[in-house]
Amino acid sequence: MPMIHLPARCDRTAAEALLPQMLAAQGQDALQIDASAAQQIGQAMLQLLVSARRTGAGATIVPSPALIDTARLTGLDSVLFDGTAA
Amino acid sequence: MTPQEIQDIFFVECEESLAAAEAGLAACKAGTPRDDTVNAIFRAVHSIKGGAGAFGFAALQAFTHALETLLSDVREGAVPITAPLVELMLRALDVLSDHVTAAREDGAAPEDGALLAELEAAMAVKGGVAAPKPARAAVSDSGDGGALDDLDLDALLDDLAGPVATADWVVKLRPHAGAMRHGGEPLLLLRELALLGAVCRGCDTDAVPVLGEIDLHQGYLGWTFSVPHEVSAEAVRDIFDFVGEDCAIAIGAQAAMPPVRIEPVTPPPPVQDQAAAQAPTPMTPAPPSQPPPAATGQSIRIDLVKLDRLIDTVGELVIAQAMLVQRLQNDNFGACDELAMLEGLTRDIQDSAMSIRAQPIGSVFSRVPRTLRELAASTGKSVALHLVGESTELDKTVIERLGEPLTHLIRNAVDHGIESPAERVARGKTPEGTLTLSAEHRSGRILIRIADDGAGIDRARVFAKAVEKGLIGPEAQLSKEEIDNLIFAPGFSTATSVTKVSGRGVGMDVVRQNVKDLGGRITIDSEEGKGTTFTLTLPLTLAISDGMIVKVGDQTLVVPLTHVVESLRPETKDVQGLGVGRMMLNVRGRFIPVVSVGQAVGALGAIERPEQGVLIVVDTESAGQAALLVDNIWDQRQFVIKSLDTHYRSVEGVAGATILGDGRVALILNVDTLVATSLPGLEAA
Repeated sequence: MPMIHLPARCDRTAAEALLPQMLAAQGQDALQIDASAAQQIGQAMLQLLVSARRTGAGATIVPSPALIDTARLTGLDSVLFDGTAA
Repeated sequence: MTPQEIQDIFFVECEESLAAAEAGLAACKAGTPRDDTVNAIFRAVHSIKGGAGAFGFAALQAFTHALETLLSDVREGAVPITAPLVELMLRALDVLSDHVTAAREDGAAPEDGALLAELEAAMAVKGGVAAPKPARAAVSDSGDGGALDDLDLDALLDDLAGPVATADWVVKLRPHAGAMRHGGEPLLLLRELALLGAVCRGCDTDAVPVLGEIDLHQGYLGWTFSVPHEVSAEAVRDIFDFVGEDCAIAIGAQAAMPPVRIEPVTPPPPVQDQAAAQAPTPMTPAPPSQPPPAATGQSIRIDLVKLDRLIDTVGELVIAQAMLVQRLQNDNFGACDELAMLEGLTRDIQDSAMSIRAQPIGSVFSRVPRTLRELAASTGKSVALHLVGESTELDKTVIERLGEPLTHLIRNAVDHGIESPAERVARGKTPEGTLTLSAEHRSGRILIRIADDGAGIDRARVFAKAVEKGLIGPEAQLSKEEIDNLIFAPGFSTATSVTKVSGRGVGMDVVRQNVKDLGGRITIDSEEGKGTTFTLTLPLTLAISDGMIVKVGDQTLVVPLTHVVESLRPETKDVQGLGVGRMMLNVRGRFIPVVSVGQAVGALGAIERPEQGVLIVVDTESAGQAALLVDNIWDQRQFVIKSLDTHYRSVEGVAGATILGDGRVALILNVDTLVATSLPGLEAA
């Protein structure tokens, strides 16, 4: 299962670039998403991560402190990280 | 549109907002605020804050937040408008302007700690959070064009309008696609909400589709936040004001979460609505129940390069039209109606193109109050500013290049013109000086006056200084105007010591040069003890002008119409000799020197006797009026100015070149230099 890496700046442009990768990586297992480098996270990326979590076998996200902070701010910590490394 | 382009728009709008806030505070200071003046100031500061947050300029955002909080208190009546408060806010505006500059130029943020403390001390509730107030008060001024007007806020806020709101309250938010357009980021707004103490109680993710169906341009998430009771609904509303209806808001625990609104995504249009950067609005038509706003005051932003290209093309059109006229005249078709129609249309197109570039001079004037405040602080001279004709429009390039000479003239007026309060009182004047800036259109030109009620030019001192500097001989007989003009001589300065205010190494000669470079002139009118007025006469545009096409020997030349007073065919008795080789023209009892253009430009075969040719009486800066002797006047028409500096090099006595109807190049005379160099003894002035 290839690991999908999130860049530091996770704006809509980044989300649009990652969507095809995520679609291509869909399979039997949960997607592996490495968000440990994410510094700035926008709504489009949050939506993409939520979508990835609810698509197929779901997704496992390795978050950065910034992503954890954003998830708490937006009430999405349980949606994004429950059952994952968070 | 790239984020950088959007940011550039933000900074342009910052300038506009700063000018609007400055104008509003000036009205407060003058005691003439309208009902909506404070609202206008608030909106201006608020929009800067919104953009600062969106682009991550933390220092700018923090400072605007403090100023905005104080303004919010003022508009709610919690803090009264007093003279010291207006002064404080004006100073805050200066620092805000510095913050904007720092953000734009990526420089260090200005020191604002002391001022922030002052702002906080002036707030109704110390510490930066607006006082709690009945919700009804929060919507009472919704006439300020708030983006939530479309919601039934009255009804939504009813459940908060109890006698005293003591419980935390709930707000539900759902950013739509528009809130994420043009680099907009709703999460930044949520962060701002969190800064007010709001806590997220849940995120509605039900609408988020699976990966195969997701459209990342849409907003699928909705949030429920719990807001501390001491935070007003208006404070929350203000945060989301920035995105307008692109973020649906419902207030109250019982209110339903606003539904998802899937919008067709269209590519960004080539031009942007003026408010696009701060309030991205959906490009799709509004639902029928929400008619689009009225078309009044709509505007677009255009890349200046495109506009300049249009002006250039219009210039070429003017030339092509002149060529066509010439060709048809040669074939005896010169009098046809179609040609007159074409000429009229060409002029209309030119006027329209020029009007696009035109901007009100108020944008230059708006910087003056700050200059005066700084001068008051450094010189101790308090000066009241009186502005007239701020809406007078002139070319953007002229506006941009006018700032520096204008600032210098104003510094000069305050530093050297207006007396100290004690001196003024001793002379029976008010302790506060007055500076009047006025602008008006007059016969195709712009007149800008800078008038002070100070001491006026001390001509004896100017004369002595000019003698000392070797600019004139001690026995020179000069008129008042000639003495006044000495202050424009290079290297001239009457200040006994170089002050930090006006002694910046820039003399009045540079001011005059700046004005000349703009194709304008500067004149002085001074009365000792009463004050001095500098008058700048500028062309409306730098690209196309009107002029007389004259023939001088083998040369065809253009005399800009801005200088021309009249033209006449003199009789022998009207012209009298003076000494060797000089002639004076008698114009209704007044004698003015005759300048032979043929001699000045070295034209071959030019007529030498005035009675054989035509005299054009012109106004000049340094030599008053003069009569230019030419062979004859061919035509009076528009001409497109082509810079010689750009295409060749600067030539004394020549202001530029133009292309005539027959395709030949004609030089445009620089009347001031031509006359000054042709009349010995006047160059120094």
